[in-house]
Amino acid sequence: MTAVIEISGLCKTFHSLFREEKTALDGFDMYVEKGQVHGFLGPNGSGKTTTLRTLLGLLRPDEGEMRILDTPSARFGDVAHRVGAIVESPAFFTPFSGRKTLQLLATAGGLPRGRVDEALTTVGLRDRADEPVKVYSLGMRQRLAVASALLKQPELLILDEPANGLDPSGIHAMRTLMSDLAAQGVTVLLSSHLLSEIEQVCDSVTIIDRGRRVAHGPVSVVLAGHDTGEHLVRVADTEQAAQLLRAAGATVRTADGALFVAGVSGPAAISEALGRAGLWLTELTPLTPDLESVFLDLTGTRPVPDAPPQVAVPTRRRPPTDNFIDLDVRSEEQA
Amino acid sequence: MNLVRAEVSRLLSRRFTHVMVIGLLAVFGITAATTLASSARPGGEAWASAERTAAERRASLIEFKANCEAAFRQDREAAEDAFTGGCDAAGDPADVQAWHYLEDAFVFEQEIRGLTVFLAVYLSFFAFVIAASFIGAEMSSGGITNLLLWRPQRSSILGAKLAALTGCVALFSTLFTVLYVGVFYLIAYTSGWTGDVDAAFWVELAGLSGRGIALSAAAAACAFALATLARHTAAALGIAVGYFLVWEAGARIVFEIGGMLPYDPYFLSSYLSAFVTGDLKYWSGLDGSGDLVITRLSGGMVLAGLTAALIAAAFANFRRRDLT
Repeated sequence: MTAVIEISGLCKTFHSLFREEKTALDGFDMYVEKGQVHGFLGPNGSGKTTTLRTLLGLLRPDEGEMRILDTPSARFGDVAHRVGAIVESPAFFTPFSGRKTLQLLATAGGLPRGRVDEALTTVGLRDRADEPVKVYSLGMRQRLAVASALLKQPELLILDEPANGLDPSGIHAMRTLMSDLAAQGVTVLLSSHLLSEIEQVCDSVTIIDRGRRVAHGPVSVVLAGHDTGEHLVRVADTEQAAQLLRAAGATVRTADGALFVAGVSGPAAISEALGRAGLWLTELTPLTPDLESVFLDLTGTRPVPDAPPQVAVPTRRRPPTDNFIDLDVRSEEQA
Repeated sequence: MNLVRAEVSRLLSRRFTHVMVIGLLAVFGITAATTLASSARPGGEAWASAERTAAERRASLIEFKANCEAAFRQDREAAEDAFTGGCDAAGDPADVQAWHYLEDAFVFEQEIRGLTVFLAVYLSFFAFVIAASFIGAEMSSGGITNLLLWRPQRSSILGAKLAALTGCVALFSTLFTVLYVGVFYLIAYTSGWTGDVDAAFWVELAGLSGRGIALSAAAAACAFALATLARHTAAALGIAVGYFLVWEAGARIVFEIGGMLPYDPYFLSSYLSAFVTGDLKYWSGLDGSGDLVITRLSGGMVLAGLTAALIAAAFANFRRRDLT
């Protein structure tokens, strides 16, 4: 597959006279293939927006290489007409109407005026286009931002938190839009906190934590990499059931009146072992991980009872380590 | 070119621009109406009174010159002390015209220079505020980031904004100056007196107006640069207000109290004044032995140098800045 975005060893530290320096990116890597809808996940302050801003030339990297549409990012201007992007909260001059905002961009980009109406219709703002942006809700501003990214009919669409502030129908519309764009061959890089959305829409994913990539690859592979093969088992006599399953070679732990069974070939083996002893199952559920649980584990943000999770403090650059989880199968396939 | 077109459209669509233009027109309208109301076409009586005053003035000048020449013949040293400007310092009696003494009439030839200098100052203030707001709002709202995602060419973006701004300010200042001078000429023509407005007068007035327009365009460029460097409209306005309060007003008082004369060369306003109104003689020595002058040329060079330095700093900073 052709790479649309390639980032390797990206480092960015923010310096300030009056504050401690903050390392936002610490050797970050990312690879997005053509035609993918690629999810970009990370906790608050993990470096997602810094990555996108650096990729789009708004920030100057300290180290690292970046290529976008097969062009070094230093020459992003050569391919900017093929890239639509929104970064972080959409910022508009609020006294202007939505239509005026897009018309100015279209004029600056030498695009026909007709594109403005098409983009407004696509994001559902056609009937509110002549109202000043200051009366728009957050969700409407988000739609306008997406419209501005779509004006160019881009080959690559980079969206930072596009669902921010959208109502359920807006989120649904956004998801449909992503799918439609992907079907048309547009590559989409989607940064979001809505893990269920990412799981539904994205083909592949990169997870970033404290400026480093901690997982990447196709969504199914990332999830499979965290599948412990455990099954939730509920049965009347848990003690006898545990003994039987351990005798059959399984690993069993007990919690909340249920058994968590691992090390078996599948649910049928559990059912058979217990059924032969006359113990009848009331529940047997394979515990497959979802993206949220993987994300919480990888980023260390899983809530702890009575301890509200805190946003991580950016740190100085850490020495390189090998202890991140690489679930990418692309390199093996390519090799 | 598309960028410049977009920026011109952005500038002309801003409500702040509309409000400032309406404010400018309102102030002009009030000034013109007041002038019109207080001016009357001179009748026979007014002319007779003016002729009498002019004749008295001519006689006074002739007498002054005669006394002066007599004093020089008697005691040259004492006369040099008494008549430091010479015997022609008070003016030539032949230049005294009756219309100089028309009391209730607006006399265009006499008034328009001062009014044009006032216009230059007012247009410069107007341009400064418009320019600071134009780029400051873009910087603080993040609008410029959106534009850079479209055209990731920072110098081109900033250059297009500057070109659109200074071009519009210069064009508006020119049109407004023509309107301003034209209305006052019309008032003088219909309800006052135009005076001797020959070709030389118009050339001089055109020069003065041109320098006023140049000052307003330079004010816009400086405000643009300051707001770009400081990233906010308010910061640019604060720098300007701070400069005038702390240095132009505060330091001037300190220099005055401390007897540190002459201090005029340390103030930007001296150079701006020299550029617009002509050479500024600011010191003749405690014994009047020699004139120190800020020339129009040096005033213009200081203005151009300051503008160029601020613009260069703004572009250099914007090219390298992280846009967070």
